[in-house]
Amino acid sequence: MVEKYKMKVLIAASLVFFLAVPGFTDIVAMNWFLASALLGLFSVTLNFMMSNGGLVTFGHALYHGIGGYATAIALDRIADLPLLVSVLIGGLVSGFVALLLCPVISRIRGHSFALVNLAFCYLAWAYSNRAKDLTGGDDGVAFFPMPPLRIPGLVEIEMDDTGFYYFAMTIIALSIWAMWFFTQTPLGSLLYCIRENDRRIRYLGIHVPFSSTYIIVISAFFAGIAGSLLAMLLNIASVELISVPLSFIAVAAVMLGGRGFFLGPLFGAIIFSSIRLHTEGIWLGGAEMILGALLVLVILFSPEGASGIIARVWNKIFPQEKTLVRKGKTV
Amino acid sequence: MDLFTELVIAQTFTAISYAMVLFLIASGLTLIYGMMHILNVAHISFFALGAYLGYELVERVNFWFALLFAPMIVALLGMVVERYILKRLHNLSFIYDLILTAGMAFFIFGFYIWVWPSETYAILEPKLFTGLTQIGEFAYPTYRYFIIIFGAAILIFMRQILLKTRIGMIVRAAVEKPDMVRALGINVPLLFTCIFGFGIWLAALAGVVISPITQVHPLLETSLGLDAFVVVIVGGFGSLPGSFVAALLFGFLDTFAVQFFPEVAPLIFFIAMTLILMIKPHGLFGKK
Repeated sequence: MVEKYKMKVLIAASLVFFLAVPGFTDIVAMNWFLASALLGLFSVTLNFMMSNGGLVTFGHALYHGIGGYATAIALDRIADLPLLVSVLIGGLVSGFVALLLCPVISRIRGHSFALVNLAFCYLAWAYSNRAKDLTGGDDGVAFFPMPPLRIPGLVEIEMDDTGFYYFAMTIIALSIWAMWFFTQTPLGSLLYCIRENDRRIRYLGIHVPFSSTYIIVISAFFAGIAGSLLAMLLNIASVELISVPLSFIAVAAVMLGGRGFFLGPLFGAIIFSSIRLHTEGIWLGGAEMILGALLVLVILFSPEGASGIIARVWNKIFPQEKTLVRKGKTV
Repeated sequence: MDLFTELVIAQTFTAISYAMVLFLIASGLTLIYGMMHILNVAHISFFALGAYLGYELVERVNFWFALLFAPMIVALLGMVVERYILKRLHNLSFIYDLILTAGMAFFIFGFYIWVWPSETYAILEPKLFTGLTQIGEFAYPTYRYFIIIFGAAILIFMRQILLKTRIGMIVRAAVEKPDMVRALGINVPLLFTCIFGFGIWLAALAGVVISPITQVHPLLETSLGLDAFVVVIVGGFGSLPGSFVAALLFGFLDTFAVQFFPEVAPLIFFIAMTLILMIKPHGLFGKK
């Protein structure tokens, strides 16, 4: 009971913090924070695949970018598109693309899964660099209109900076909650089992590729939403959203934050964003070097990442409690 | 000889030289994977590092010095990395080796764009191999011939060592049953370190050899290196003949697609990969 109470306090405290951010920061810092949170959401979708599905991918930016492009193109070409619909389009299109790829990727596991996804991501990157009519090539799709959030008879909020901050944060929270909820369903537990022993599950008469399709599509859907929100925040969908390095950054964020804890990647995203903020323009290649070195150190010395360290400190302060981290099962 | 035949012959040579470079990178990856079951994501970073270091040495001394020493320096670096970082990974799940080597790839990428910050570095071919060579009516860049012959020489050298010498026998045995080989009194960890170094040496060598054609720039790693990964996947992990066949296949596909269907050229590579993986999810020569 005490544990539950403590979690509630934690959630309430972070809620207050997120609500208060626009109050005590300027626009630049707020947008930086929102961008890190979006990277966090993207990393959580990756962790959803890595920890729950046992599927490591180096090409997750594919879905992120497709979501961003889908939303940007939809807003650019269709007049008066409602806001929620345009975010949903981003998610649905990338989920659909994942579904199309699944006949190939859901049958592969292990090392080649990571690399095949990487190859697809690179393909998409190369394609969006060239397809001038669809994606605008190097220039990207920019200056699309931002519709207000309008639910007839309920609310109508103009999407200025603060408005968009609250809107995006709400969507991020809902998405993370939805993914977490999925892991608690029977299908979610089945996917845990596949990760632990896929051969046994196959003997039990369950079609493994079919089940991993669920996890890939759901993860792609939410990654698409992260991408579409980022495109809206920057008001441009460019090849950056779909680039291979972004996929690696997400993997790094997951590992830095900790795979064991569902929200761990959020810490990792914040860590990465801070590194980038402090090296950008000062030290070319510095962000990559620090990130790479940190990644190696984390894996060698503390495989549970930042959230693991936090949980350890937490347990020191409040002993004899259950840990925040699900104890180190390797995937 | 009419223009079309000439074009086809020229493209064939280009394809073979590209396949040679791809195979140099992919064979190192495959060897390392076959022995240690580590997929070295940083392999392509070592390849790019070889190219950058090669540039530096070409500028300071000459091409042949770079060809000899740049791969060696990078290989030594790789051996140090294997000895002090990768060795700690034994018996951990595959996620860790992927991500650890990805971290190293990040680090190396950051390192070389920090040290060599310009967009592109141009390397000239060695004086011996500049210009075209005329055989009958057919003229073709001499340097491409050099790549083909050099690649083939390395290939034959590797095959002879693996199949004909005692060391090659030990290596092949250690791939199959490392514990048994260790029980026979052979220093398997040392062998692994050496093989890792050799794989890195091949990659860095490819980096130096290809750099006069592609020039040295930060995208080298993603463009060429990814092709090498695709070759390893399609060939089947850990299978040297597989990567050779796949390298040839993709060398030809890539070159001829660029020549005849430039619009879809980057797509064809991946469409081929997708089709092959749909039929054989473990690659052409892969074991289940």
